[in-house]
Amino acid sequence: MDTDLHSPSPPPTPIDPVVQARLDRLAASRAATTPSTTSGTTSPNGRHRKRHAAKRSRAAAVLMSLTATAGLSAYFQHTDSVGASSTTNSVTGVAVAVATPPAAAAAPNASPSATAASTTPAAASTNTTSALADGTYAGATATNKYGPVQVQITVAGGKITDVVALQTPTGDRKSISINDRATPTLVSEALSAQSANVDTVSGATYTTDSYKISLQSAIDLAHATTVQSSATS
Amino acid sequence: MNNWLWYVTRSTGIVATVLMLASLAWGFLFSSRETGTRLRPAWWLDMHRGLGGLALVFTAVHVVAAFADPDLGVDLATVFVPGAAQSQTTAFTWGVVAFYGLVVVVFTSWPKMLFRRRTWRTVHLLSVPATALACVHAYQLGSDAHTPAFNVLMPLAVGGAVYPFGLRVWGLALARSQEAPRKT
Repeated sequence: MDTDLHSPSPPPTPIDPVVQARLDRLAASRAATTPSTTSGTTSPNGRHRKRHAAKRSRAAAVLMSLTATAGLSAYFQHTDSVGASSTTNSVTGVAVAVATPPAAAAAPNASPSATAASTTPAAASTNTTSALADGTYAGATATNKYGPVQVQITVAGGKITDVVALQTPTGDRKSISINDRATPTLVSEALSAQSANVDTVSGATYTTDSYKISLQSAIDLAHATTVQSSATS
Repeated sequence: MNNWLWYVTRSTGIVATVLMLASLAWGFLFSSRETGTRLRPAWWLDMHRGLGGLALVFTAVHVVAAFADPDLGVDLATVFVPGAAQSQTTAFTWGVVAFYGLVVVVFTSWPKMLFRRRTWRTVHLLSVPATALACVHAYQLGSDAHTPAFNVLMPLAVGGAVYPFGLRVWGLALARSQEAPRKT
């Protein structure tokens, strides 16, 4: 079918007054409900578009995220405080002689674990290293709420010549970082003091306490080995 | 010992990971047109953008809190240079790369019109590997990664993002298979 595009458009048909009245009411209600221009944009065809179609939902998401963060932080603090109040250092292992001189090793009834069981934190600051048998001694494993700590000492010429931390807590990033910082300090203090009487490293109280326990058990074992050696000879 | 920075670091890390997964899910549901009829597409798009921005904010707080905590040993190089961490290098590297990916995705979303559509889409899809790396970072370095709650909730959250991703990929594959006969 051919149509003449250049023909003049037909005159507009008159709108029914009822329809016109409805259109006017609609335009008036839209004008009344349209928010101010600060929260939206007006497109070229004159229709109003919201800038944030999910404004309330986004606000709810922000609120939920903040609540979750606060709740999780409170939960972490709670679990930490509960752990701190209920967990004390506990010795879960026994001290063992890794390498002892022949005389000590041949001593009858040599029982390396005998001293470890009686080791207490209080004793850690009192015993010294007088008359230690040469050798390498691994201390008992002292477990605090962050994990186990075990220390090994090497005795040569009756003196502690080396201290190695065989185990430190590795459960989380903070424990690893704290132990990386605290362990060298504890080792140097133990070597200079020649005993388990070391100062607590700031920020590493649990590690220090466990370290002292394990170190003392290793020293006690070296001391007991000396006593047994002299008794047999 | 004041541990509040440590708690903030952990909690914002968890929340940021969940927000990244949620933003990804929203985006794929929107692009695959699986959003239903109850809510308008504009709502889904706006939520997707909002969740992405929120994920970036919480990631930034996570990074700042980790840097500010003196016990964590996180320095500027660890935060900004991949592979510069003294310990747990790989886990830190995934986190740094994921952070950069998120920054690129979010900051190219606003001036979207400046890019060609194909270029923008390629850049925007960086959000998928960025989110995956963030999850690996959380699993390898997170202090709570081995708790039962994490082992249950994290796979659920990842599944919630993988499902719309699968829908999107399936939709694309279906569209291509239908286009192929027409071209011949």
